[in-house]
Amino acid sequence: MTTPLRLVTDASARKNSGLDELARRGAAGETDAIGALLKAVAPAMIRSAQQLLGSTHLDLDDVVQQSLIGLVQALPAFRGECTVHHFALRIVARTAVAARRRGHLRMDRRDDEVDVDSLERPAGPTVDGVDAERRRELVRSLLSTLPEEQAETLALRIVLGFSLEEVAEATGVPMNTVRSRVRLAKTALKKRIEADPQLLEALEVES
Amino acid sequence: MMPDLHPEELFDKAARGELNEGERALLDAHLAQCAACRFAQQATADFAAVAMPQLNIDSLVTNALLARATADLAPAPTEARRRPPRRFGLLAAAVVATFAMGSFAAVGQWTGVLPRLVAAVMAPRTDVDPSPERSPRVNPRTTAAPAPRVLELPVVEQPVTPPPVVEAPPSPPSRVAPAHRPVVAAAPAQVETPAPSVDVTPDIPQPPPETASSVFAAANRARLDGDRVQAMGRYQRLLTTWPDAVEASQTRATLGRLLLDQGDPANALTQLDAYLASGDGTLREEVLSARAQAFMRLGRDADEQAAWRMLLAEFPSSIHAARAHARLGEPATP
Repeated sequence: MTTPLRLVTDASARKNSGLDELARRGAAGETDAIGALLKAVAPAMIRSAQQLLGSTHLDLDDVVQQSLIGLVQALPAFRGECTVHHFALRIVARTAVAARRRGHLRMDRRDDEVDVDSLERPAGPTVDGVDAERRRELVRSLLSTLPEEQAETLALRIVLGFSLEEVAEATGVPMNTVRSRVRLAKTALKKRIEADPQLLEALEVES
Repeated sequence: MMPDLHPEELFDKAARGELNEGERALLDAHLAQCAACRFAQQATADFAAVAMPQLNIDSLVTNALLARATADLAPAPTEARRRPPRRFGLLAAAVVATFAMGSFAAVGQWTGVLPRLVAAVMAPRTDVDPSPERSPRVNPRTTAAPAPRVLELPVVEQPVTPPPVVEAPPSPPSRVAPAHRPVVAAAPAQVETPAPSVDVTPDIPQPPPETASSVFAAANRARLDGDRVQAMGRYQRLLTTWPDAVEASQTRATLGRLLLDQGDPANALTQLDAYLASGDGTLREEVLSARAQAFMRLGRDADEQAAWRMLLAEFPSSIHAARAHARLGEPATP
């Protein structure tokens, strides 16, 4: 059995006093500080949006733009109870999950005759083998169907690699609530895996 | 029977390299019997390996500042206007394109305006929405009632010219859930001054300038809404007007697919080949499949076979592999 690998988010996130200062000044209306803050966190926000949506999602650029706007709007509410980095990524997670849900709804009412889905949605895990992109896409598809809080927790925990404590700080809920949401999300994940014998078999082989 | 309790703390300790031998054994024992945790563990590593996409950070940052500023210059939205636009970010970007120009340097001449716009937006207000400080989510109940907006903006004193349009998007409230957008409560001394926001907006509304991004977004909307004719027209206009835009390569792939579905394999092939020539690899697997189908419909058997073989060579586990093998008359690989 391999050692579990949970990739810790950017180590600098925990000691970003510089960002805290920019956030404080930005909340006070200092234009330069807002611009500097956005530039500092934008790369992580962009990458997180791609992790959550996939590289070919049509809303990727829009989600990044909305997330940056959302961060500017939310700055006055930032009290430093989590890192600026996590605060920003939570906004990305919420925005991306909402975008996936809208996309999911659109897909539901689309003309089945048009076979263009495959251009923007990688295949699900129902075909030969299991690879990284299929695992990613399964998680992303769960984000469209889970209850909002569970989806956000799943996004932060599995997609963005937050620890339990970081999820609790970023979402402002107690640790036990985070544990409960993770458990429920994993129950849904388990059902999805068990519904696909090929996926389950491949997972057994890989583990 | 797989357990429903998962040792999440142990996963975090493992990530920090803090597991002792006993904890490691416990975690391994759990992983041995829990497919969900094994999957999650692998998926987390998969997500960490995602590459950084190429987006213009300067442009995004500038648009974020200006879109927010211009949004707050608009009159307070009515209930009907609170419905979030579908692609607010791009729309806002289009509205402020006159300013944005892709970088802060490009707006240098507006340095007298931008800071004041942003300052007006970000100025501390004593009547900010007291919603939970840690959550970037707006409580819709606190924003439901139309509220007078406070704009401590002296821009009116110096009318902005030349770029005339400081018009806000038609429906300013961001669809970004978070937005602790300051909600102005009745603050008598300040409520007296909402009028300036109207003065800043030109009398005659002008449509936002069209950009490759906005046309691309409109085409995608039309396609997703099932209006293929409209979508193809917009995609073609994008390619004609902005052939070198970053959206062009994906446009060619999507247009090629639509043309193929519309029964025009020859023109589809032109677009699909142009996509492949662009060097963009994100849709390559799908485009190779579509290209083989185009050859099939054109009756070019040799080209079709070559196209399927190219697909299989580059993407042996493609979702189109079964079809490729079938068309090649080969047994599918297990």
